[in-house]
Amino acid sequence: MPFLYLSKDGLKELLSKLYDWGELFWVDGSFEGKPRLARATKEAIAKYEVPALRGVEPVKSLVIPPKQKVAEYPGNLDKDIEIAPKKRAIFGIAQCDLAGITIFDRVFKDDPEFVDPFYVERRKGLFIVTIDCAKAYPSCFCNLVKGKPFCDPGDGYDLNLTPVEDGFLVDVGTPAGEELLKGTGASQATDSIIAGRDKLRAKVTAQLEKQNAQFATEKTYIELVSEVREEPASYRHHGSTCVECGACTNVCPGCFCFGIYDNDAGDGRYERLMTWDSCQLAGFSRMAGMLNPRLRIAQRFMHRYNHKFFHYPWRYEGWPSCTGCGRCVDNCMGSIDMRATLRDLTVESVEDMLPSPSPKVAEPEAGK
Amino acid sequence: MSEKMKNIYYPIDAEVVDVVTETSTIKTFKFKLSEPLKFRAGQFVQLTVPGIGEAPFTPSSEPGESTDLEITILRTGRVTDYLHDFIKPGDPVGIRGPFGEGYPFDKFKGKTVLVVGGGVGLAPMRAGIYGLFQNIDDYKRVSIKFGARTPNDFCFTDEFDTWAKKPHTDLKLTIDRPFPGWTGTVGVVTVLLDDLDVDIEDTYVISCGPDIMLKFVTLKLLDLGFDPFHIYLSMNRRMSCGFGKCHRCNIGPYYICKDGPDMCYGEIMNYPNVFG
Ligand SMILES: Cc1cc2nc3c(=O)[nH]c(=O)nc-3n(C[C@H](O)[C@H](O)[C@H](O)COP(=O)(O)OP(=O)(O)OC[C@H]3O[C@@H](n4cnc5c(N)ncnc54)[C@H](O)[C@@H]3O)c2cc1C
Ligand code: SF4
Ligand code: SF4
Repeated sequence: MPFLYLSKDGLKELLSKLYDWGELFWVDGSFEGKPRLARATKEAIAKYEVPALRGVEPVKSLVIPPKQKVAEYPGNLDKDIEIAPKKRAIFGIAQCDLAGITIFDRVFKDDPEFVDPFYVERRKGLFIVTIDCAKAYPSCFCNLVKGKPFCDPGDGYDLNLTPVEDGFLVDVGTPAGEELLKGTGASQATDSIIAGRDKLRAKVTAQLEKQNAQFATEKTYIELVSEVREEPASYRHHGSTCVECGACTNVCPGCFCFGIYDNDAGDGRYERLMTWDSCQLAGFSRMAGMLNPRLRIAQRFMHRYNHKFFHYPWRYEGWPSCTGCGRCVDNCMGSIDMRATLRDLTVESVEDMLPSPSPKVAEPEAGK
Repeated sequence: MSEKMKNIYYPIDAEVVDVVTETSTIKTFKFKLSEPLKFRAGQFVQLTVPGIGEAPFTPSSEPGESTDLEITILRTGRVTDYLHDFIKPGDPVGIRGPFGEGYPFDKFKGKTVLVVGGGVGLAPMRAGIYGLFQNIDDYKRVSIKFGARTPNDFCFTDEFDTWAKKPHTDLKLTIDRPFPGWTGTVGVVTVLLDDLDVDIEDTYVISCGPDIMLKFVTLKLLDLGFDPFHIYLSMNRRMSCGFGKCHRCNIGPYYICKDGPDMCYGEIMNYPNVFG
């Protein structure tokens, strides 16, 4: 499939088609300041602006809701359940959010033994339009964790857009994407438009490399975390300001740990709920008799990093379950920067570590 | 575009048919399942108490495929207290599973199997022992060592004689402190390992009990020269899903629910907080 060029009017056309096709969510750049995830309305299509960076919210609630009913009992009513995927589109997500969905896919959809029917139902009906990042937040570090500020064919999008002069370069990922593009006036892209895309990608990649240079390590984060056995001082140093709010795991597009709870639904029936949970909270691994293998904050801190950079890649072909979106950095009540913690893993003395709490990282000056 | 899929969160219906008091804190619950459940020795299930919640237990009944299932339960918290206080024959419950790998009996062929259990740890061990008895001639010897706080804290005492009479099987008991009328060994379960008469290199160990017991049993075995890869421990960890997704029960990269719950000590020994 050749690259296509879509005009700004063509984009409105595409959004209208998606709106009619199914339920439409988008990351909207027209908010003051930062792009936000929202449900699309027909009226808002006219003033919709594509986001220049990732949304404030991750899109994970669209595939794993914060709370969902997964069973009702007794009575073998829903042991085998009917799944009927609903048509739903998310428009304008960044690579770090698509990578998050891929992280979930491996666990909930592609497991050879235990497949989550509720996840599959949501995932199967999902139409994904990704967009290249035109800028990066100071907290973004996808380049350090196998990510990038744009998507490549094979990453799993239906359509990918790159903002170029006066419009968009479109890469079609699936037949469904091709179908929806019909009637939007998309035309063959010229070489100069394709060159514009490459230039943008190179620019944002360079910015990421520059702002993250101070956190770069000789070995990859995965190698570093996987090699550690004893609790490194970095987890105590950087974890010391954690107030156990759980924000880091809630905003994370790669965090999926959950709990299962049962409720009385009345009339002799009971419902089983699956809810997001957070490994940073003490109750997460507490056992009967108040035994807790992760009693201290540093232990739970280490557990979160281990899951992302050791346990997950160990099980899933070397992929981390952190996409480097930086949301945990932006939202931490204790001003903890994940990159600083990782960078200091092999540093023995606290004096040689980056400061805790982490100062905000300054964005490199534009154009440099 | 709709299709049918299995709901992995759904418990199959079961009914309590009998409740047997084993000790002051342990009861065995006997269930009739609405459909047969097939499990291997060492595998566990999630037991649902309607509206109260789920907790993981290793059945104490014979491995295989059946609609009969027994679970022996120590009271210790929300779900288990409710079971002890309120659940009676005729009550509905739910079962999800089986989960986990179970014991690697294939590895034990031609070897001695040392079974070390303490407290309520005897419950899961009974399924293991029944499993060994199913093919007792596959093993050189089965040597069982059980410990409890007092003589009244052992469960399954009425079966001990039958077990000891099985071919090439022996059973030894100990209690923590002297007790009126007890003439046997006194001391925690590791004292039964003091004068071990097995060929250590040719022996595999399976053990289940509280974390603290597992720790001292393991240290003792290593001291005696056991290969860490010959020691299988039933690990205790908080669990929600039972199938390697909720990420509570891990030790290092291993999931106790999926790769265990009986973990080869050699594989987990280098990770933090093995014994809590
Ligand atoms: C694989 C496995 C097999 C087990 N087999 C047996 C058995 O045969 N007999 C027996 O008496 N006990 C067994 N246990 C321990 C039993 O699961 C706990 O005692 C039980 O979960 C306590 O639940 P509670 O609600 O009464 O306690 P609470 O302290 O109120 O616990 C609340 C929740 O925490 C979780 N939880 C608490 N303790 C544990 C624990 N030790 N392990 C895992 N999750 C826990 C459960 O989800 C429980 O619902 C086993 C544990 C595991 C992991
Ligand atoms: S750990 Fe932090 S940076 Fe990594 S994906 Fe999660 S929120 Fe983003
Ligand atoms: S966001 Fe920060 S303070 Fe809150 S739990 Fe995570 S690390 Fe701790």
